[in-house]
Amino acid sequence: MSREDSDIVAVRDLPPGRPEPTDESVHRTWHRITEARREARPRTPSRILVPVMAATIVAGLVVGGALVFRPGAEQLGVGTPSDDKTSEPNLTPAPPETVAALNALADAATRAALPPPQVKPGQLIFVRHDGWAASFHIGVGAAPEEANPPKPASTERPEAGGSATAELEEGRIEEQIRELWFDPEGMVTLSITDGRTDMGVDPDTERGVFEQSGPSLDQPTPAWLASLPTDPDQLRGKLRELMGEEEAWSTDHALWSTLQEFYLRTDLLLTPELRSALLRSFTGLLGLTSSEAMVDGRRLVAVRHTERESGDEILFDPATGAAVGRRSVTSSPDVTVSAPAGTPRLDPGVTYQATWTQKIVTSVGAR
Amino acid sequence: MRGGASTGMTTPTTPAVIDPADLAGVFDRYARDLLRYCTRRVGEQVAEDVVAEAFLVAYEQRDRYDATRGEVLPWLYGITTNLLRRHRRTEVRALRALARADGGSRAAEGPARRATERVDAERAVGRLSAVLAKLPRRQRDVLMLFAVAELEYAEIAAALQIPLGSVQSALHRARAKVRAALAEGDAR
Repeated sequence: MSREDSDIVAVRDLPPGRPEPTDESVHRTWHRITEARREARPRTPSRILVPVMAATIVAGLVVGGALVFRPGAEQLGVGTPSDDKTSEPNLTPAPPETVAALNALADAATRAALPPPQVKPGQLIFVRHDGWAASFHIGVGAAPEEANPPKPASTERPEAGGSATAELEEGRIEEQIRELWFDPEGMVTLSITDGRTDMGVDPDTERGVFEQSGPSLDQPTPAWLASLPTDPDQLRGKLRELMGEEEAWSTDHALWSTLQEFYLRTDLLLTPELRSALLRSFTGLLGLTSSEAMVDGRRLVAVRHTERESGDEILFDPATGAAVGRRSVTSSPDVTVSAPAGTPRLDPGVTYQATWTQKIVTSVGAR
Repeated sequence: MRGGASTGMTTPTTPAVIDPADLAGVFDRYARDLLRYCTRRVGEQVAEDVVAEAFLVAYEQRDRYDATRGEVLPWLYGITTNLLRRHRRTEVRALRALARADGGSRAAEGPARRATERVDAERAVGRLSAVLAKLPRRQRDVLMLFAVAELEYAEIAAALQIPLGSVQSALHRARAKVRAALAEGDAR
């Protein structure tokens, strides 16, 4: 079998006369990249829930224990976020106050003993996701594009002012409501709306991946969840094994990022034993810190993984140990976030904040 | 034409460490490959949209890129192929339009040899387009990544996140249909 076989050549040359990409086409494509704006995209939940570039393109992290506690609120004493700027994989063990906070959450999960609902065949998981996201204009290079138009990519890098790093400019806080319906068998996304209109999903693709790859942290099933170990050390080993090795980023960073999505879809399916074991297993992860956060008037525990100058948080209810939301934080000097009238003032450095509720429903559209 | 030298516009074959965080550098190196692949599938205008979005998605998800599992280009092709699925109707519509070229080819009966050859070629394009339009999405993705993107089996498997055996199976089935369509023309 060769690529010079007539059938392959015929496919390659279809449609006939199709020219090679022109410099103009390359130029226009680069221009589209530089003009792109952050906006929600309906392909996967992660790309819908977090505006484009929110979690990863943002440089910097919140430093110096910057979370603002509301006056008069009794603090939980769960620590402060990391003030270490890390450009390498963060291999710092969780500080004692974070270990204590996670163990306290695990104890709360055991006490609350929230019973997971029995999911009957055909039933779905509905998630209502209330978020606030900083919508950024993405700029690439330091100079204004009008003054320094991008060059064709074949000749030189389309940079300006010597910088080719994508930069964020001013972000404005916007409300971001999402309603999601998942098939619990693989957490296949069946539908997503912004609260009013359907945003379009591709369940066939997700289901195909699930059928090929089987259950995972990304696509769990109730049976797979029930098979996870409840010994914290074994569970931590299992979670890291599921993530595999990362080269540029630490395994625990990838794990924490994945767990944000995992909790969004599956928290209500966790048994008290597994919920507790997960929290205790986190005490051995590297790069975690914790703090108290006030979100929509609720006092929550924010557990953050900090790496490569960004912080990813999962928000836990201190009364039940349940995961109820997530945040992204930054302290990059290149990022400014404004809150227009009618939008909440997020804690310093927070570029994205959301809480969720979950329930079992019988069909897409049921709430 | 990956690594080819004929056009002077293709991906260098020299191995190099590419950092997915270097958006401009990745664009410089791979934009033409992705544009060529997408343009053949959905036309130039849609291709530019898809490729631009693919680079933004890749940058956004750069922490998910695992260099131990393959090079950047197959990873980019995987993202691009996923994005192309939104434009399946565009692709199939274009293929069907090409397929219809087979319908009005009575001029093949004419005496002029060049005209006959041209019509034969049009018929072949029509048959081939009709087959491609009817291929299941997975088979078409695998075939196009093999024929146009010139990825190896393992790279296609990595790009589409499917087992190697599925790549081989899909490619075998797709090629069997393409060959049958071309052979049908030869038998006329």
